[in-house]
Amino acid sequence: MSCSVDKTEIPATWYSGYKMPQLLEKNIEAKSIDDIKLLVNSKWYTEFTIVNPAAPDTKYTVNTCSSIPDGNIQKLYTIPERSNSAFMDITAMCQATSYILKGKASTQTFLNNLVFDKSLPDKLPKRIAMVTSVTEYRKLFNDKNIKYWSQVLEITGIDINGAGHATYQTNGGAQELELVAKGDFNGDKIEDILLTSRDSVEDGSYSATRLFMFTKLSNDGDIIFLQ
Amino acid sequence: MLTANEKKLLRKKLDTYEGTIPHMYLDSKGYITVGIGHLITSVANAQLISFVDAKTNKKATAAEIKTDYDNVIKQTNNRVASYYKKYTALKITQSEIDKLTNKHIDTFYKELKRIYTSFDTYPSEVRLALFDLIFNLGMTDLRNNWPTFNKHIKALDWQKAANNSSRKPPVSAARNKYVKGLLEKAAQTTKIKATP
Repeated sequence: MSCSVDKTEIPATWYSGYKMPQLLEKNIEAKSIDDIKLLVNSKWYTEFTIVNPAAPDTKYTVNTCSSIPDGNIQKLYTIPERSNSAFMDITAMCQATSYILKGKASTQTFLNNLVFDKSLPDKLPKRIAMVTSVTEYRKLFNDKNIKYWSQVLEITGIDINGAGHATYQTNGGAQELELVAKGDFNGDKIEDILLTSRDSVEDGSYSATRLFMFTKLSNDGDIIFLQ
Repeated sequence: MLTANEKKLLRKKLDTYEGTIPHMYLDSKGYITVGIGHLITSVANAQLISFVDAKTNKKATAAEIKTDYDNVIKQTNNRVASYYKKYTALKITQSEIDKLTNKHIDTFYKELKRIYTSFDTYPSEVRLALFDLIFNLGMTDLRNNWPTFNKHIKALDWQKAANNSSRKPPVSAARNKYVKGLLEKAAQTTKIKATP
């Protein structure tokens, strides 16, 4: 599952965490970059009615990645509200599709040793931490002393679901992390990764899917949040 | 405890924000759920709920309930709830939904009292706001991961609690506004009462 590139380069590659094909009305296998191009205009398994809070009287019906209105996707919400989580999941995959299509082969990588194990929370930036409160999220990002995920949340358990796929239990919920793609997504020729965090809380209805782009610029360096 | 009117209002708001689904579906974690987020932990647990045939309204048998359960559990999770309807033949009635939701409200009431020992003395608007939060966030996240908000609630500073009550996406701006509005109303009412 990779695009054809010069042999000296590391091709952009997608993994089982890339779930766009399964979210469509008709399952399309994403074996090549040409297959992925088709997914942009392919109908989802359902359609959503969405509203932009900036113009709440205007409703949109969306059923493909290409039909999502331009702007900040995170601000859009569905009618009914209960579909928001499923919409967030599908839009995360649309964003991943867009990155994969723009992705280039990289010439260097410092991410080969990234393993989804119990040490990952000590390596990934704090932004990956599931924080449900807007206030606490803001505080966290103003706090220069906090750098890593494990400094934000106590990780109480881990289930390894496979290579590049693990669920981390936290004090109050769980984060299911899954590798989506690798490649040069920001044009610096150094390999980046896309991964999702599917967040859920214990005994509550809150659930979210967030897509992250990370990179690493040297062997000894930290993993850096890009988008 | 909430009054009958408050319970009715809460059920209405939960219907708006959480949704009422009369058939079995999978929640985002892959658990079988029905009504307003009522978790079904096993086939035996499902058989304790009064399901009826969606077409005839005839009381469902234990075997029919098992069939729906087995059909839904094998589907992919984190889809819109309506996606699972085609895998079901049964539904629950509105009165059964209300019964299950009232049970939830009772459970969350006990949990809210554990977090906020003076919960019963809070204004009605504050109690409704806290119910919306706990239904969505669960007790552990609300208790452990909302220190700023909880500090203001415990200090009975409803305005500051309102200013720190927003949840991150996918919670909508409208739902955050609803909770903030309740707390602000309580702040205004308290201020008026305190004015000589």
